[in-house]
Amino acid sequence: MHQADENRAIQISWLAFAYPCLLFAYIGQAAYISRDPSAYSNPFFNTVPPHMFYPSLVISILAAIVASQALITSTFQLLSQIMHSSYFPHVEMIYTSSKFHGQVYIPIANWLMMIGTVIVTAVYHNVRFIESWHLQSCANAPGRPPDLATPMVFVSFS
Amino acid sequence: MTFITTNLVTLVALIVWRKHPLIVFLIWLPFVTFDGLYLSSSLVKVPNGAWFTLLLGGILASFFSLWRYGKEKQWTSEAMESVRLNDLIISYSESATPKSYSSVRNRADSVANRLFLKLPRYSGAELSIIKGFGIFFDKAGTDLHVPQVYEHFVTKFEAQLSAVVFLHLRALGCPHVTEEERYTVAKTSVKDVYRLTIRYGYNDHVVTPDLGRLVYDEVRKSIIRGTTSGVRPVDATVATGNDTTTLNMNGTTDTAAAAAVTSTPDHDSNEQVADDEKQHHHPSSPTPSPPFKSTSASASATASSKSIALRLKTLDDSYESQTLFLVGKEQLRITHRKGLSGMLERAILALFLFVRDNTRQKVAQLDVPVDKLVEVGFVGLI
Repeated sequence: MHQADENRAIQISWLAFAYPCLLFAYIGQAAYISRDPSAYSNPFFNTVPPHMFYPSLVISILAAIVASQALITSTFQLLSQIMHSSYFPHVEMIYTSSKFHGQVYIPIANWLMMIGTVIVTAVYHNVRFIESWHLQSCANAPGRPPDLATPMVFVSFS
Repeated sequence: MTFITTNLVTLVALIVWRKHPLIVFLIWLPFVTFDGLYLSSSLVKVPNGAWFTLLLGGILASFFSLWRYGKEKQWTSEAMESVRLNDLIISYSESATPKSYSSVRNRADSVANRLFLKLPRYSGAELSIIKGFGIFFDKAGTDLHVPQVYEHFVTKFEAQLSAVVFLHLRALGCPHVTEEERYTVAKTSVKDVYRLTIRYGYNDHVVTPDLGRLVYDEVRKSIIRGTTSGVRPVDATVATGNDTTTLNMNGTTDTAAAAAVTSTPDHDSNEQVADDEKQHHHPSSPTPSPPFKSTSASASATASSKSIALRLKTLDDSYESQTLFLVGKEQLRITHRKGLSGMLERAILALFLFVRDNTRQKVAQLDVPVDKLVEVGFVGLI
């Protein structure tokens, strides 16, 4: 696949699919909260239609897995970039694909992240603490209810 | 998060896209107002746990800056010490050696060209020749300077391996590099010293126990490729990559010499070879001028083909005797600095060196024959 095709695919799928979905979700949540202000405590689960709790739970777990993978991948990617620009010592880096050139895996970064997150989750059982790590909140992000998604990010390493 | 990205885009607009500052400001203002509003409202979370994120970010950022700072110091120190080959070694013929250069006494062999450490920066001593094919790992690969390990080797031992290759390995961010694009060989100002750059992708494995053979083959092929303008087709030499290569080439050189002795009038080219050959067989006569100074084109071609044969012979002999891999290990010592800021600088650099020592690639991990591996340590000042 050529670089230009990839760019085009991302542009179309984001503009035509992801962005409208995002807008619908946010607007729907906002509309619900404007009627029932008490829903603000947990917008995602409080605004899902009746009897839809478990399906939305599944979706939110899946979304959390995707999010955590994205986080890990982007960490490797960022690390490889700062290594190339000499802001970080060179550590072992494994290219995982011969088709997509930028895909890298950095073993030591993976281990460090795993150890770090396990320690933090073990020390602080309080999920609110982890939630408040996000200085500027992702709390309202659809499909990522804070109470569930954030610990999922850390669990799904193993 | 959005606060940061907003400001980053603003910087890009100003610096890269070169938009007018006023336009940028007018677009930036509403965005940053909202972002600032959200950011400040979430500052209440700092005592609850957000301090952890901030702390982590701070630690990472200072580590990155530390590494960059140390690297820049290291580069400055290396740049001051790096030297070009023609500033390091100079070659004189037997008779033309200036008085200021001291020759090795009582040498049995008489070589046409002798190598000296160049004055005034270096001692002016003659380099004795060690039999062997030396592969010096060239970390920087500037194509201008010699690898630091080579400079230290040559100046300290006052010795030169009979054939030398500066090997620069360049990793590219693609899976494979094709055979044609992979190797670049260049001659240098000193005969029998070559530069080889190997470009490789992440699925290519270059550093193998067979690396010596590979380097030898590539240098050899490129010397032969230089014969395209020569009079004698150097056949049978293209078949590299097997054990008969050296034999083949020796065979070719021998035939050439034989042809030169029994030169027949119907082969003009052979006659010229014979002339050249004669000159070479009398060490007392002045050394033949380098090919590029020759007046007649055909004489030049003959001379170059002759010099190619000589180069190949030296290369083959060196490779036959032994192959050495020379790796530099640069230790850095922090120079003395005065005052409080000097102490701080020393502490930062010490931390940098600690990280550097613990993350550097160990020579033991280099997958080349251990008994052929030489690590030359030296100390740089930062």
